[in-house]
Amino acid sequence: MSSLRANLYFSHPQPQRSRVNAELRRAIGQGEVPSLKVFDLYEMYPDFEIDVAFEKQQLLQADLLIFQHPFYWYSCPPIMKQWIDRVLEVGFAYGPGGNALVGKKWLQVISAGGGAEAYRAEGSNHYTMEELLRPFERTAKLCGMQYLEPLIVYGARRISDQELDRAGKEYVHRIQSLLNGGGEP
Amino acid sequence: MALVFMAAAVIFVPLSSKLGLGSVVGYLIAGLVLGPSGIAFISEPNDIMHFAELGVVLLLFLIGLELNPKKLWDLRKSIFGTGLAQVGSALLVFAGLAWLAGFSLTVGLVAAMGFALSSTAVALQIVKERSWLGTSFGQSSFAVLLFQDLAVIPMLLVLPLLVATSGQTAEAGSPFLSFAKSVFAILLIIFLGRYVLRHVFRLVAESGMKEVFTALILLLVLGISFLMSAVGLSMAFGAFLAGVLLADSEYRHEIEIDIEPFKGLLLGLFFISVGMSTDLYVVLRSPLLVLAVLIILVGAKYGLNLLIARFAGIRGGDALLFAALLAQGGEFAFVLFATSSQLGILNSDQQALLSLSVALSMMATPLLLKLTEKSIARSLIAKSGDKQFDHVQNENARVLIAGYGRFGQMVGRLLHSLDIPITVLDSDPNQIEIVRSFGWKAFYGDATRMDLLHAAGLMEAKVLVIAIDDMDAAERIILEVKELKLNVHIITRARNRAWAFRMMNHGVEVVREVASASVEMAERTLVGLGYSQYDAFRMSRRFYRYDKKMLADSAPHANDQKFLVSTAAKSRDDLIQIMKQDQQIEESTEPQWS
Repeated sequence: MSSLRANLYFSHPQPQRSRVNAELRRAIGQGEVPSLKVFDLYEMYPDFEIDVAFEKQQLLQADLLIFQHPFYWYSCPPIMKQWIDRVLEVGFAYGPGGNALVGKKWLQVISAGGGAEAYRAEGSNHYTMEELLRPFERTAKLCGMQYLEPLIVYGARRISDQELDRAGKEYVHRIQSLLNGGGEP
Repeated sequence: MALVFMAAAVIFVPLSSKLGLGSVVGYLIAGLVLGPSGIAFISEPNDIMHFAELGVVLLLFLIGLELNPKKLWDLRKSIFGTGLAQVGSALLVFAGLAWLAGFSLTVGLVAAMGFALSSTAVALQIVKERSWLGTSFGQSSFAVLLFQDLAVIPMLLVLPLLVATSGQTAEAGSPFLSFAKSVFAILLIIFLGRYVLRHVFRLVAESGMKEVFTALILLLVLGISFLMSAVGLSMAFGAFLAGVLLADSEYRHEIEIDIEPFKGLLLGLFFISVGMSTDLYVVLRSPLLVLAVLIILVGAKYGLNLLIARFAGIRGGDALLFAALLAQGGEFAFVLFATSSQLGILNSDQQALLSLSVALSMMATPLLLKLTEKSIARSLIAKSGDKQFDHVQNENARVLIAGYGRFGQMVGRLLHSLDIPITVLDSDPNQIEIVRSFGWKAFYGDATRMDLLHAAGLMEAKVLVIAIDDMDAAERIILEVKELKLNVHIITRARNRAWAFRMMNHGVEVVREVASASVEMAERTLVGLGYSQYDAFRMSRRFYRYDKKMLADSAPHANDQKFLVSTAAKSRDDLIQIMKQDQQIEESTEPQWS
């Protein structure tokens, strides 16, 4: 089966101060994912003026959209939201005639400060990750996309080097199997 | 005596500037008044003339200095095309006319040479005053003037040869001997210049004694001039040569700066002495003759220049301005005529007549330009069918842009890309034509004139953008418009902080000329250093916001006193003050992400 193409939308305002996201990005960059295109959104659009035409064109050429970002205030950093707001236009991504993204896959790769136990009804965040990510799920579904189970790295603040390393490997493995047409986990 | 000269200069020069005639005319008039034609304070002007010729010598030295080969090469098409055409055609026409009038060939040639050249002092000054160097016709006139500077050399070299041909006895035997002497002198100077001068300059420069440096330059120029006059060539040419030799040396800028004050003074003195030696009695004796020569001089040059302009691709109003700008005789004419008279080629009557014509033509140029501009303005209005103050049927543009140079153009382009109609005011007829061709309204003229602003729709305007580079004029516009108490939002360009304060205190929005460009440069520098685009962007925007805030906060305290006494020391103090405050932007204002 032919290999799928993936776009990685990386949203971190200060990657030089990041540990987890930087490592994840390094891992995926060096992993054997040849068809991966990386879009560092803050680097490309420091003034938040997304080049919508360009972005739409890039979307057409991808099968898997990966959104890697830290979990800021239960959501994504603003540049990603800006991207969603500006690029996913009516008539293109959704609405009448808007089927450019139908069938494509949406995968979020998120680093969260809190431990996994915090993201439970009885935990400090009161909601599960699945619940908190519903806006993104709905966004993807409205565009006719397949919303995949997100890859979450919990406890990002205190994560050990080995665990981080393992997370990186898991990331690469996940993407590779997705791109090689592997079954849907 | 120096006192009288300076007094005369102080009286007449500002006066003529005010009348829009430029400073050269002021000096000439001062000379006229002081000399035998006027109150006859000085009755032997020839002595002064020699001393003042130093002014011209230094002028030519500076011109040679500024003649960098690269600039010459860039403008080569204009210089050797347009320039050559202008000088060549003028020479032919004037020499031909003189011959027809019955003058000898030598006299005719000398007159033609003097008439063919235009006045660098007058023309270039006007070009700089009106900021026309940015226009294509401005650059063409500059190129022509450059060519004329070059043309002076062969003209001056030819003079001694003419002596022989006119039958007068040459200074030292046969013309071939003097030619050989000239060549030798030139070669000597070139040799000295290339191999000796640079070392000498370096020695003196390293010694750190500024005064010695200046003295060395003057010594050099004088020495060469002396050498040149000893072999019968003109001092001016020698100085020109010296300048060219030093043009690509590392001391060029030093030299320019050192000489500048001397040049200004001595040049002024030169023009005064020219005014003094201008024999007004010639006018009294044969007024019609003088008038005739003047009309021929200016008229023929104007006509020729128009033809040359077509040939150079300059159109419409620009061509008329080009023609008027260069339609006069130049300061070299005085030197040429004086030298010719000394060499016996011209008699004193002829010299007086020719010099007077040239002087009058220089005075006439500003007037001619004014007339030309008026007629251009009228024809532009007529072309578009506008009548002054008539209310226009289609919707009036809500944006008025005064000044359509680089600054105004960017504003216009952005608005145009959004299909926002604008009205433009500018003093370059070419710009006006271009803007009109896009369907906007454009008005030609001086944006400080209220009648023009009204005609352009000031009363209906929502925003008035003042983008001219003349700050005094900008301030005038602000004050005039504010007085009308209109609802228009005024945004003005400001050259620097001092002007920004001043204009802010008039109550208008200010955008400093280079501020945001410099910030952009700083942003790129950060990226070059390895900062991420986003960090660089944030930090530079933050800094810019802070700088603007600081500006706004200081504005009420910046009184006029500070502005008037703006010296180098003061602005250095300002900078130190500012930088101290900058250091107080703490790191703690840097946002923390988790």
